[in-house]
Amino acid sequence: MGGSSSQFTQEELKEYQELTYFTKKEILHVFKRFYLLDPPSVRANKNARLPKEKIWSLPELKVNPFKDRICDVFSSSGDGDLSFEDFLDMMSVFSDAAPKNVKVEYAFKVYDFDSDGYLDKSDLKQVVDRLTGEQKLSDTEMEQLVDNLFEEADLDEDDQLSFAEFEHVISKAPDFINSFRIRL
Amino acid sequence: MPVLVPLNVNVRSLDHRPARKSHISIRRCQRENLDYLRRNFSSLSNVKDSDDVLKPGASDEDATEEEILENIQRQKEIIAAIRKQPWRMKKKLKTLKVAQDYLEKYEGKLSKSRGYQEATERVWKKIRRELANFATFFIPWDTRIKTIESYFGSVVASYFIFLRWLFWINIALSILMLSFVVLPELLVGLPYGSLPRKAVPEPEMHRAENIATIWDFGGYMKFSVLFYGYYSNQKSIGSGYQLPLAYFLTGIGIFVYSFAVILRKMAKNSRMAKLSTEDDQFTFCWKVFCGWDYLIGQSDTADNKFAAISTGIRVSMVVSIITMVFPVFFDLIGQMEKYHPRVMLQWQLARIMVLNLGNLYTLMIALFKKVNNLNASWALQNVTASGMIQEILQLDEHMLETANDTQVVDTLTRLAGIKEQCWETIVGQEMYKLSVFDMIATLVTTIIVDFLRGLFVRFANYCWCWDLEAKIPGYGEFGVAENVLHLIYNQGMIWMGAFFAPCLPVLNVLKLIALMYLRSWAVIMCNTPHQRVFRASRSNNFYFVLLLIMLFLSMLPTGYVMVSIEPSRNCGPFSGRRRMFDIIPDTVREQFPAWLTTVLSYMSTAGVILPVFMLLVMAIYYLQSLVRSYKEANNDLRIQLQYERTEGKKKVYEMSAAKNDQSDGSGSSHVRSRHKAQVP
Repeated sequence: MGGSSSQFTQEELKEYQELTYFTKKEILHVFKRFYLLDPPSVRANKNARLPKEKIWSLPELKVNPFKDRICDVFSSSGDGDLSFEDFLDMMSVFSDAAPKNVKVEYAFKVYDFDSDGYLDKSDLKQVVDRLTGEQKLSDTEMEQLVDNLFEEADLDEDDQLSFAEFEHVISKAPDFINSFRIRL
Repeated sequence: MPVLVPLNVNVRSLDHRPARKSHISIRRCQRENLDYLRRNFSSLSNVKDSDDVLKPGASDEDATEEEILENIQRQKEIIAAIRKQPWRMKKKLKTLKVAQDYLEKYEGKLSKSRGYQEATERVWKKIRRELANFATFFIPWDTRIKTIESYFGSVVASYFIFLRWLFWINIALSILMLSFVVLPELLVGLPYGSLPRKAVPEPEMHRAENIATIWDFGGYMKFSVLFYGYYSNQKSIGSGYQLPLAYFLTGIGIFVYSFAVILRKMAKNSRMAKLSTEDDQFTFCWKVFCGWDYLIGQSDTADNKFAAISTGIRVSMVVSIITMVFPVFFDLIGQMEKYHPRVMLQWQLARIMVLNLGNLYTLMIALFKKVNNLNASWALQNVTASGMIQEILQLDEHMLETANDTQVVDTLTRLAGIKEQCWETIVGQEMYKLSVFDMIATLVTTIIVDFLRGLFVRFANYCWCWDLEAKIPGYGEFGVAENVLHLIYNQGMIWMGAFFAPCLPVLNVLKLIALMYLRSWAVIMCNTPHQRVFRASRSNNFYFVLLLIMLFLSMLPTGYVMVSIEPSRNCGPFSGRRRMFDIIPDTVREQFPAWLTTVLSYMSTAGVILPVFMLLVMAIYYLQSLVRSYKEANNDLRIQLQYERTEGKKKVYEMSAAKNDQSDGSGSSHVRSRHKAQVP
């Protein structure tokens, strides 16, 4: 495993430090975890794209109900496969040092299942479904819950939550920063 | 606006790249730079893309040094802000490269002085980054805490993070004490045995190495740097280090440092949580969007979390339906809220806190009583001793002429065989014993309550009537609140005792290390994740407020001792003075110019202190009313928002309905004007 720091030039490490919320040591640690997912491919080409199933096998993501959405959001090829830079981006946003507004932006993208820039009824239903695991809500309960959500957050009453409305609600939540974190 | 002009020049002067390609890519990045600038600097909002990009660029001699400097500043801001943008890595890299290229090209063109300024800034930034990189080596127990996070979630892990933070504070306190008080005395002060106060007295020698004495922190330990009594009251030791002054100032410095650190942490926390949001305003949204703990990495914990979220949602929905249909039940539910687990937990915490404080204060009061008794008995002994001393003096008058007060008392007491008591050392001993005993008690409780219980449940389950694991007694749950309170209580002990026992913070550091390993082992080995998950308090500041209260209350006994009680005459750095606090005015009088003494004595009169006090009270009142007015403004805005949603919508419908009518009808002007009059 001794090759990790020699994969990057000093220039590249400095640039990554500038662009993410990581220190040099953390960047190398992230690379090491990425490498361990599929050593042969990454050794051959450090910009290799790993298939999403491999990313999902990370212990930190395995039980996460939104793991597929997270990979889709950060994937630069749009299909959920991540290169190292995408992976670094992802871990930077989820790190402790990332500020609230960055996390809120990406949380919105993760919950936006159809990627249309709005959280509409179907998006919210899917979110709640993922969150309740085995004890799914009945249809009436789901309807009621979505109505409550819209009543709380939908300010312009267009039956969908825009980013501004989402941010308005979430930025006041005391738990958000603590729960929207992943540590490698 | 000349912002983009120099960049344009950049394009034309790049001959080594194929001009067309670089022109396009840089133009695209210019646009992105502009987007950022437009988002953050509204004065540029009227600048359009195409105009500036295609403007025939002025050569760079036209761009004055000021403009170049401004642009350099902007590029630096852009670089600092890139990582906050929700862009892909490639885009960020490209923007960074454009900005960095510009900087490289133009920083060299600045005048010498500016160039040095920029160079120092760059070096300084590099140093800071290297320090940050270096500091990450020093975060202990990271893997351990991470494992706990993945098993138990962020609430349980917060206890360990709090422990680690306290560990760092205690290390800082130890370094303070060690470097200013303990080490000077050890290295430069008079060694053991040179003075009566520094030696185990004759009557106690034969017991000095018994286990019982060591357990009591007596014997050789009592007459060592561990305790207040060892430090000599010589004005300066070695080559002029004033130990008594240093001791006093370090004692105060410990409290000041602790206050500063806690307040800074609280300020940081409260900036995250904004004030004046009603708790029940966004219940459902928060449950749905902030409900999942992304740190969870085990399927059992995840299942528990799913169940907790699902139950929580259902309960909230039932509550909201009831309050909607039967408003009269709203009060009832408010009543029931009093029995919500969070409220019960807060009451329990308050009870434990009061109990702990009662413990510490009872100890303090008992110790003060003992000190008074000692002083009384010393007075009594004085009477009998004075008789003996008269006799001795008559034998040796020479002694009085050549020695000073404390030396005389030392010699005479040694000769007269009177046992001297040093109440500060006794207080220090009690503190040490309390701390050690608390550690042992924690160890024993953890082993019995958690470990043995876990063993019993695990193995007796095979041959027991009912399912031990699922029902009573089951495995223990990690009580975050009680354990955090225990840490706070422990820290309060240290603060109370640090003045009398300078090495107490060091002992506490060792204790915290042991606690960390003990608790993390216990939690992973013997505890299960919580079935019901709720936070003890909404804001993160709850525990810090408790810590602050504990700090304040621990400071009071030491403060009282410093200004009111007479220090022991035969031991410690303040012996011979009337009060410990007297060392400050004495030092000021002896070592600073006379006018400073007059100024300070004026400042401590009622004529200055009362107005200052009143000023502070007024400032507090003003800030309170400011906070209140902000809360009201926030409330008003929220009501207005509600109004806009309901009433404003009605108006919009009316307007559009009116417009529809008007377009359906003849469109005569008087109709239009009539509708215009109706619409406000």
